[in-house]
Amino acid sequence: MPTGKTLSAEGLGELTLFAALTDAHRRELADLCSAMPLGEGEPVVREGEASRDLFLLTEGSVRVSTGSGAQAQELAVIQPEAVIGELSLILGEPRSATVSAIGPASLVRVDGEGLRARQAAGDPAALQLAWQILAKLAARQAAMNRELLSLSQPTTTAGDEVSRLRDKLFAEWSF
Amino acid sequence: MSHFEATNRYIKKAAGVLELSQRIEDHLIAPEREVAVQVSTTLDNGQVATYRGFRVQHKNVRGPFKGGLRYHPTVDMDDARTLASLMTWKTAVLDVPYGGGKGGIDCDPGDLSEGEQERLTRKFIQKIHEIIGPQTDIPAPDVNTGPQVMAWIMDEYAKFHGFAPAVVTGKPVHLSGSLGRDAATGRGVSIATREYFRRLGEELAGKRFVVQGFGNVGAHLARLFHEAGARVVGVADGSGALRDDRGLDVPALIAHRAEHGTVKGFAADELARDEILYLPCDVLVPAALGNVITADNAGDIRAGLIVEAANAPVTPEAHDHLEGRGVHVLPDILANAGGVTVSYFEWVQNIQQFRWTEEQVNAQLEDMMQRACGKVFDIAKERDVDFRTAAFIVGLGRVAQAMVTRGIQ
Repeated sequence: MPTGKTLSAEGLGELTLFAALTDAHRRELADLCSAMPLGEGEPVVREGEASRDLFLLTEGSVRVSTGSGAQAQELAVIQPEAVIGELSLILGEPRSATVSAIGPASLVRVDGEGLRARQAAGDPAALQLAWQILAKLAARQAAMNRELLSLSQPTTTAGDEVSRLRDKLFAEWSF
Repeated sequence: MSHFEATNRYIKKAAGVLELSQRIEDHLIAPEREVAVQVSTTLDNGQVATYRGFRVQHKNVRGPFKGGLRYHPTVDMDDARTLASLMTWKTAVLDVPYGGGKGGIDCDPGDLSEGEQERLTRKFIQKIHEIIGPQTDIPAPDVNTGPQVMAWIMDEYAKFHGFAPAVVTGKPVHLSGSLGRDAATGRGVSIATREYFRRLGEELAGKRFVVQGFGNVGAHLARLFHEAGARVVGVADGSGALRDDRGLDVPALIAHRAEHGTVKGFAADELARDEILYLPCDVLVPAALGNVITADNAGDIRAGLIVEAANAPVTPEAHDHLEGRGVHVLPDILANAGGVTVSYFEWVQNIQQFRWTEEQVNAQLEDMMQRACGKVFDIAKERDVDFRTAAFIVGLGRVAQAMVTRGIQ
């Protein structure tokens, strides 16, 4: 996996995941973080891979997909500020999907094993960062709850469906 | 696969391209009304015979229901439902202002005298006259029903509702029928075939045709192909098949069949009836029954193009196989729609109370078939789909447009 130079505490402060931490905590964590520039198509993680590193996308966009060849299925395209790999970090399971750069992209890699070791030792900086990751996960869970709720209720009336069909039929087709 | 399943498969494919939701698709497939009646009559020998009569009215958002009445022991509600649905899409493809209907009686007219058929027809109309009418539902000839049956229907309907010849089409020419109706389906097939080749910068002249089925439709279209300079190298009817690689003398063959009731005995090489499908040719026209080209024999077809003059002669599996190796199929709902189109002209003439000349009928048919072919061929090219899918897209699309514009309460 390509890795770059270790990041400074100031550099980390610009990342939302680290923004709420104190300067002292950021300095303590800086040696676990490194810049990871990627070219088009280069993978961040591969499905099934055993790795616990965490990634923060800072520039560009990445594609999340499962399977390969004819079975490949794109799950999402992720934009900057996103956290990648938190499931493997917390659950210790192999990567559930492949993530690769759509174009040139910049990420910050956080050494997962190092972070886990410090959390296990009760390191306050590592626990603060864990709390921030928890906040991200909680926000995602809340969004998922809203999505589930909307799916369990009729989202449109028949009138809406017919209106949409009418617009589509007349805009996109000439019979 | 039943006819019903095959039709729904085509509808689903077109609905997928149109991105219709499942709810809209369900709505489009479901018939508006299905009627089953008991039709009892006394036979010539004094016995009572009881049959079942059916009428399915599929969709009428674009105009009154329209479709044939067939007399056949296999007629049932499933059959009528499928055929009514096909009429909805066919009338929409041709842009005639009708919806789809179909029905019939589960009798075998071969077992019935003319008097028995007349009594049965009148009894049936007594049961369904309230749901048919010139602006409601307009029956037409189909399997084992012809101009005489239509005349009885017109007469029986008039007893309840007064003179209204537009209640039914396919009537005898001398009784408010239309000139050109007899040859209309064959003429439509020939126009569709010619338009296909015209798009390729080619013409019918010199092309080799095989016509399977030499009844009303097959004989007319063989004559029209022959007149256009094409070579009809093979024909078959229920009794046998003929081939002549130099091209059969079609007018003489039609005269022979009129005299002898069969193509057999005509001066040409005879071959087994089924072998006709496998002759090398440019165009194979199945003009008789459904399901003659199946997954089992599609690999043996040596035609460059198949034109469905009959209803559903090519099964969905065979269709996919043929298209897969570049043998295109001009689908029934486009190719054989000349019949319903001239039925429409008959209805228009009845309402206008003004008779068109045969030239006027043929010119209007030419115009409507050309426009329908042009639209289907355009959609096939734009969306990179086969002609059948394109035709169903045009049919479904036009019905859906009418439906959403009128509104669903």
